[in-house]
Amino acid sequence: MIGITFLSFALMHIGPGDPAEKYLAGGDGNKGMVSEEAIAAQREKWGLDKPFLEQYFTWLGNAFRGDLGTSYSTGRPVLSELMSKIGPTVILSVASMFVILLISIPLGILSALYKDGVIDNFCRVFSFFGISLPSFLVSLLLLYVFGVQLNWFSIMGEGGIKGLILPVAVLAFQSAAKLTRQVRAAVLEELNKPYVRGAMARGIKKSRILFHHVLRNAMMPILTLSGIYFGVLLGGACVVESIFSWQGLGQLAVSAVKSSDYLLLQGIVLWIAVLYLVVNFAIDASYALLDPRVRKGASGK
Amino acid sequence: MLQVNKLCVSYGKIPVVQDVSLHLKAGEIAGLVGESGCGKSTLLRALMMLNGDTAHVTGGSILFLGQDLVQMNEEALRQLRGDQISMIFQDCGEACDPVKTIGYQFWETMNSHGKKYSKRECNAQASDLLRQLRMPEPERILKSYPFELSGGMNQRVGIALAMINHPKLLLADEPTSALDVTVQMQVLRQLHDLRNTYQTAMLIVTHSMGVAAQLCDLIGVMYAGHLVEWGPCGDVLAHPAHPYTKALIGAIPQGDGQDLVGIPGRTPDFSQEMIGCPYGPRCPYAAEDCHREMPAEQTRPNGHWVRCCHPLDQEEL
Repeated sequence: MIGITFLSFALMHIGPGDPAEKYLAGGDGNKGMVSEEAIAAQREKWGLDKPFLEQYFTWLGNAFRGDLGTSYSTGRPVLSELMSKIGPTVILSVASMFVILLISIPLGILSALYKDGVIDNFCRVFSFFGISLPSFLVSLLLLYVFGVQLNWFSIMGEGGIKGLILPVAVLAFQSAAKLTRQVRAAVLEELNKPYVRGAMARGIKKSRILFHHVLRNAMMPILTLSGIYFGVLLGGACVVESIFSWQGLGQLAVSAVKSSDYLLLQGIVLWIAVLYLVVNFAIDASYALLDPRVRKGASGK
Repeated sequence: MLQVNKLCVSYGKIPVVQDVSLHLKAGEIAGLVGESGCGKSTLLRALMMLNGDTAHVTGGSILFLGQDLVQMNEEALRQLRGDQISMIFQDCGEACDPVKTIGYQFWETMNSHGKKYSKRECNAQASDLLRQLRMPEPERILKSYPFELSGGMNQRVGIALAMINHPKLLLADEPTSALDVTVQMQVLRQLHDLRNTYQTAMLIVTHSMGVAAQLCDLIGVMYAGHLVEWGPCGDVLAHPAHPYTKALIGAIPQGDGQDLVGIPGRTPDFSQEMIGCPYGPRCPYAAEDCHREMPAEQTRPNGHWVRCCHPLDQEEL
């Protein structure tokens, strides 16, 4: 956690751009209009003239007390900026995750059961496109088709449920493509385990073997992967939110980068990291519920 | 009760079990011995029609209580499996779902064949059976998961799971190979006791002549997918008629300091078509006619038969 904040802090300081200069020059970036003295004064006011490590530890100390500083570009506290933007991002991520699971799990299972069948081959093609097309391209394609050509959505972005559809489609398309293949692999692996033959030899019904045994066992790797995709979604939100004008953390992050707003960006990174950790912690905790080997602390076979 | 006629099983185009015929009466225990890869396990799984997608029965019939399993549909087979015919695996712990309790697997096995039992009835019956197998604290075992039990305990759980519905036929694939010797003896004795209690016919695959000698009434010797000798345990061990059987017996450690006699050469490649006796190339007694055609069965007294052109005479021993 602290590693993440340090890394992002360092990266921002290595990167080009001076927040003081940009703040004084305004959004247009008309350099030279601002005097060197004014910039230096602003830097001193924000503590940017101090050594890098001192800046970092000052920030860290304040962060522990719940003070993430004040945004350079808007002048509002970073925390309240974040609070106003985190809701939309969480909605977007959770909705996408839901759609991803809704697509990948049934498709993955069907592909595994009817290996090399029609569904499996269809999924192969679907995954191929999903993995190879970058999200900005998919976003622009969708905007062009549904926004410009069909005029179903406003290209300036929509609020509410309608505004969710396109960004969720883009985010879900990519991760679902990969997850479908991974669900298929997980189910195939379980199908080949000796306990499946054992259950067959005991005369258990095939449907029962599938739903009560194979899927139950395959759930664990699928859960782990879902946690990873949640992180991918939060990261992917930056691109997608900007394109679809979705007022969330991702868009905030992009504007923070543009104005070299270190403190705001640092806050966003911190929050995304916290979100990711919370989700993955919840997944680890659910392992104990799903797998008695974890619950009882045995090494297992 | 079980009558197998000229059964052939292939993996793709490669024949693994060829022309195997045998029959078993209620309460008889037969052992199938042979080297690794001779088709014993494939034959055993074929008797349950449980060879998966890769292996197919290409000929012959398996008559079980008068019905041909080869012609049966999947649902009818499922009804038989675990109920009338059941199987013990080499590693029974692995044959159980790792995330379900032993008790759950008993409950599931008992309730998959038309009858309905409550959890309590299942636990009571399973506990009784586990107690018969001399397992301590059966109630605790039923609440455990497979990974919490030792190999020997899992093996006995596997036997109990296979016996819980009192099958007519029990198939066992190397049931004691994964156990250490003292536990091996106990498990063999318990199989014997179960046969006496329930009159279950058993077909036990093993690569150990010693296990076969201790447990079985009948012995079948397999070589390269063929059953080459079959007969009462005592007769086969005392007067092996097939040179391969004799060589296998010669490979049992006697503990008297004598050198073990290995069998020269290796098992033939299944993918190549064989002409003549499959053991011919390794057989010290092979004559010219052995390499021309597959030998016919020759019968001996007591239902003992051998598939060899020049079976060993009793005086030769």
